[in-house]
Amino acid sequence: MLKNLKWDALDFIHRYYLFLIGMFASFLLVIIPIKSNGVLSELLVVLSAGLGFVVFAAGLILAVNVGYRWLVRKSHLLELTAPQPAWKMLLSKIILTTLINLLICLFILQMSVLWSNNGKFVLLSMQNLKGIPGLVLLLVMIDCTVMFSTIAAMSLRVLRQRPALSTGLLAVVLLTGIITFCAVYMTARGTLILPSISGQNILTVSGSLMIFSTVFPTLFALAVILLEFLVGSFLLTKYFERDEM
Amino acid sequence: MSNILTVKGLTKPFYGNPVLEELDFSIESGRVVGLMGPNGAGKTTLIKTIMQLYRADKGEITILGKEAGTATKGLLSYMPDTNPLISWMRISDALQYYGDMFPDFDKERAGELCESLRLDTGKKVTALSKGTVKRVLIMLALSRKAALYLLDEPFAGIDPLGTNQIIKTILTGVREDASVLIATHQVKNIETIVDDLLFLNNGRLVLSDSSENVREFRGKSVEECYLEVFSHA
Repeated sequence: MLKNLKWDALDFIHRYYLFLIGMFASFLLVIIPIKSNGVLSELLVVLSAGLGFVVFAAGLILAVNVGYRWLVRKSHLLELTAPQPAWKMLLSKIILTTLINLLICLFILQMSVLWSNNGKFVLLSMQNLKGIPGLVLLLVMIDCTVMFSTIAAMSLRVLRQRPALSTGLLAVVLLTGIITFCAVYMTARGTLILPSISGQNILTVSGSLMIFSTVFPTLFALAVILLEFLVGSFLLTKYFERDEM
Repeated sequence: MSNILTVKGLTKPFYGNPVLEELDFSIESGRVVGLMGPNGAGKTTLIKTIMQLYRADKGEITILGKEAGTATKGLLSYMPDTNPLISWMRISDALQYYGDMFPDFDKERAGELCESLRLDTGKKVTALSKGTVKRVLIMLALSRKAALYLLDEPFAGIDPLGTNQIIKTILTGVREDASVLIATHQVKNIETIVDDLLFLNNGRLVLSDSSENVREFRGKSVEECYLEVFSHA
């Protein structure tokens, strides 16, 4: 499995090195001009913020891509003909997705702290990090659902004829179902807290992200990921087929 | 001789149209088998179904007595008809990848094949000509110690010199107890190396015989036999 992860990570770095350079550039832009309060300094902070948000958004998309794109590229032939169980391939993708989501969440959080301090180097505090596990869990659940939808769309005969459309529809239906179920259940239990974003602690949101600070939604999200992983592995082993006719 | 591959009653439709119909055949160890037929005969579909990239609707495939599945993938070495290598890879990366993902990959053998096929391992996959990509894929497939090699259109788009190199590599690169299944419609190219013939037309097996029988009892070359069978099919 570590070998899968090694090649998945190498593939990600080779394909999307601009994303990593963008992260680094955004960091440099905010950190370099520190010591003055001049116009140039503020301009660089604004530039850094602009670039940082673009990189963050790109990271969200790339994390989804990790679970989805490998099945539509011709290189899937390499992975699917290797003598390895499907679960290893999927677990590697899920771990990589988790790492990317963690990286972009930490990045945007650290950058937010730097932007709000006008480039003065302040490290994240534990208070800042409180919302991160919940947010990463939510993002990984979304990415896993997209990956599972892709596998299901190429495994079930009725969906296979239009795999892209089927993947999109299936992902939307599943995610809507999962989020609705969670919200309805938590509303009924009186545990759903609506989001309230504080300007002081950017992204240490209390409310929407705190959803994952209660036991039920955390377990529910983990169960969804586990179920999608298990069923996805089964489908990939027994039914997955990419039509090229 | 024991059977490496046994196919019984294999049927595979696409969108309701049968692409493979009730195929029955087996491949013994140590044989080079030509899977021949015109375009759209079902050759690639058959190979992908053996590789479990396509799922059969009916029938069974066994490799060395085991039902085809994840475990049997280790017994098969597959060269696809398209280039599956990742676009950023150099040939050296592909060697590393195969070394990591296929436990039976022989790096020493791969080095020898790179030399004999004149492959520069520092070159990027995207910078290679079609013929060179085919040679890379042949090198990667034959560097594994598999029981059965499945080569899908290894000569497509290759000049005569390249074809000759590939034929030589197949003849010298495979262990005696292993078998090779070559899917092609370029009959002339493999006439001299095939032991057995499988002629496929519209998903049906229209001839299954040894090339020796074709020459001795039918008094025809493989190409003549191919033309006779398919002109009446």
